[in-house]
Amino acid sequence: MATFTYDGRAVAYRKADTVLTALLRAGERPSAGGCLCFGGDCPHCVATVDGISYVRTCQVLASDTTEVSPHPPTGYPPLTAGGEGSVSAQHEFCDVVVIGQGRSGRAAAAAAADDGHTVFSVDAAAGEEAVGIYPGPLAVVRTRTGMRLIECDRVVVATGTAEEHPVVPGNDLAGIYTLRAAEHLAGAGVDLGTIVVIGETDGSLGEHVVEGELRRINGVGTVSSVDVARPDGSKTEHECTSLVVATGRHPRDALVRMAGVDPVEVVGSAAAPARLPPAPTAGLLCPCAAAEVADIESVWERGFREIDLIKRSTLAGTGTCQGSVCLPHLRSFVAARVGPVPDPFTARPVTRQLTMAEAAAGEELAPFRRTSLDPVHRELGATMDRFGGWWRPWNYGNHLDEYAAVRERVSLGDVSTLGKMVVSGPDATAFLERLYPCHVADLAPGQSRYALLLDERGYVFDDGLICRESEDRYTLTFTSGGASFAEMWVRDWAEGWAMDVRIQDRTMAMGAINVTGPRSTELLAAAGFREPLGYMRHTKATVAGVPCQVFRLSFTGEASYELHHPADRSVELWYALAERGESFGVAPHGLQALFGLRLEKGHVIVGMDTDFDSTPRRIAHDWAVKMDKPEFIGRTSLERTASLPLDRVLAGFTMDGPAPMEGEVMYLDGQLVGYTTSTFASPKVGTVLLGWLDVIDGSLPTSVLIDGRTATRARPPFYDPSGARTRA
Amino acid sequence: MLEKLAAVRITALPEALDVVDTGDLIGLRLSADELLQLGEEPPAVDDPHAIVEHDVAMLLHRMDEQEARALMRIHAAWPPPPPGIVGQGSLAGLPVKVWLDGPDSFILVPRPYEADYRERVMS
Repeated sequence: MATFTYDGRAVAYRKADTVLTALLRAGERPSAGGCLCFGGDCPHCVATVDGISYVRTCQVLASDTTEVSPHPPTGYPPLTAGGEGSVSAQHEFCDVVVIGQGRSGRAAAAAAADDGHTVFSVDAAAGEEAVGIYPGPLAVVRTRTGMRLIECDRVVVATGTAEEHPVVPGNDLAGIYTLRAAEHLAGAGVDLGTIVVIGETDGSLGEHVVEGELRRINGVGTVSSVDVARPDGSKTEHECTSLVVATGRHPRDALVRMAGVDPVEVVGSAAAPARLPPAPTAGLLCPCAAAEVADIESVWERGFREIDLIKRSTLAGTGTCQGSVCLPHLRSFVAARVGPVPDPFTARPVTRQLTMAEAAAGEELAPFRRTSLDPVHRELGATMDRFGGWWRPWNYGNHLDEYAAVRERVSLGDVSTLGKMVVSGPDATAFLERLYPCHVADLAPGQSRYALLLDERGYVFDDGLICRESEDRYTLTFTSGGASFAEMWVRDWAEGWAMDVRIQDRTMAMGAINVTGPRSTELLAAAGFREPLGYMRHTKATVAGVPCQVFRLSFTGEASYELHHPADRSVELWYALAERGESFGVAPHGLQALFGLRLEKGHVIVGMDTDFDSTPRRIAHDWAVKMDKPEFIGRTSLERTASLPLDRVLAGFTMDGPAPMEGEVMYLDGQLVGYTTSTFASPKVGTVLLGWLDVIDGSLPTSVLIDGRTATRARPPFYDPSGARTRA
Repeated sequence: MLEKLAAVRITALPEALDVVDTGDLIGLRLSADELLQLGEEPPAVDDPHAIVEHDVAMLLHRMDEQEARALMRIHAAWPPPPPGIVGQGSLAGLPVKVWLDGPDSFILVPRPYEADYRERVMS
């Protein structure tokens, strides 16, 4: 005899048995009570199956490996992700999805196919459960092998009917079945004992049919008798061990009720008008939410007199059956009090409890990009972290060693993540003049300029370089994290202003290596680049055999060259520079060192030091804005706010001791007056930081308390204020 | 396997791109003003301001059409493109371009997503 495990015990099952059938045959029951339907419409047979809670055992075939345990009598069962690994998803595209493969469903599928439509049929008998219809329409189907996500033009719902569950006192006892359930169990050889049937039946169960209205179900734990009101007004009590309820059927319409405005057609008995049961007066109305009729009456008396309000206030209808059991009774309850029958409430996906793995099927985490040098960094032992949508080296073991390499020798940094864009066309100069707050037209080919990007309110949202290549062609750079938005920004304005320009994003095609440090010029010479290149100039050249666009600039405060090159040659270029730089003591540097180096120079990182409403004036970058230009994005706002007093600024500070946390608050006389944005304990200039500082009574405080220590306001740059090293 | 792809990315006036002759090389019209030609030799473009750049941003995953369709069925929430039209969208959460042409079908993967593509699609 084949067996599966239930609550640690072996339970015999027969071929084609569901778990519930086998349990009932063995005298077991996965839940305390309630009417069983065997249609998957109610929550009365849920249990934990193979580690997954809330599984409807009437829908699961028993097997030797099946392990079932009842939910705890109080509280909730543990929720698991749903097995090891992920659940697969398959995407389907068709004209028509037909849900349900009964007679009307098969007919609808055949008719659609005859009309030349592609059809996807969902067959519950094959283990396929449609669990939701989403806008699109998109039908989501759970199968035995994974999830199916089916996009279509039209959904046909042929899901038939669900049987009415009784709502009377005692309806939470065991031993109550719908007619279909009883017929199924009798056919499976399950002994139901003495059966009383309320409603219409063909007598095949060998039952005692009672005419009248069910009023109460009596028993302790399980049914022992039922009270019935006869049509003549008399009341009778009938002893039984099983109660079969055959009082009516209702459209199985949860999927239809969640479809909203999507094109959904209902066919067969699912389209039949619902005949409502008598208004309930007592008993458990919604088994999913454990809402009693008394709960419904209570909220009704408090003024919740629309069906959606009752749903929200009692949670009736919010379980995974989405009203399959309770909705007919709830509508009847309302109709009995106000007259008209209310429309059914909207159903929400999903109509079955899904595991996290099933819900996540087909979903992927947003990826973080990797530069071509990513394997090199990992090989060098870098600690990698995510910044601005990219994996980047945070450090290679000791950020202060990396700092020293930059300040004293020469260092390589991977800046491939920077946004890179080419703008070309007759209107290129005019376009960039309107886009940026700095001058553009006066740049000569080969010159570069630092530039802010402002929005219409004059707030800084990105920065980078404008590099003029020729009369009508420029290369622009943007921050790593802001590049995608900046690209949209540039394209939108070009289109909006109808500028005659061409725009090509080069971010992923081009790698970039920053060669920085007092010996950077020597290293480049060793790599074959001997052309004198002034500060904020750029040129095209071959470096170590790799074609590059060489930009002279500096973010670290030392002489620096950015080598933009084809991304497929990044590794080759990196190793060539590393090899040629050995005699200069070359070493790589990560972001941790870079953040400190640039902080010593007072360079702002947009998005880290700036806030959503940072104007150039607030971050002391007025110099990057040329108000003598007649037009640029943000100019009107800056003009209007120029006369307003400053309320806060991004200020520099020095202090003794270790660097405080970034985000640490600043106090003055016990009042909070600001917070830090960047901090660094510099080996050369001591602890320095940037932070937002409130203007107090028209002036900036000269010192504040941070982390209990005094920090003194100081004007950046903290290192090489003359810029001699940068321009060396 | 993922192969290096030598290509030329051309940004130009739409009407100029409409008449670009890529000869035997495949030209993927990525947008009204952008064409990605597979192959290193740049085609003639009737736009003096066109941006014509060698492009190594993409890696090439060759396969036959059935394999491409099977991958899309599992990883893409959008229908396969018709032959001769480049499909652009998310595959396993990664931005790709899909070209279906019988045994010469392929998927283009942006270089920065190579590792994720190998893990999510090829493993």
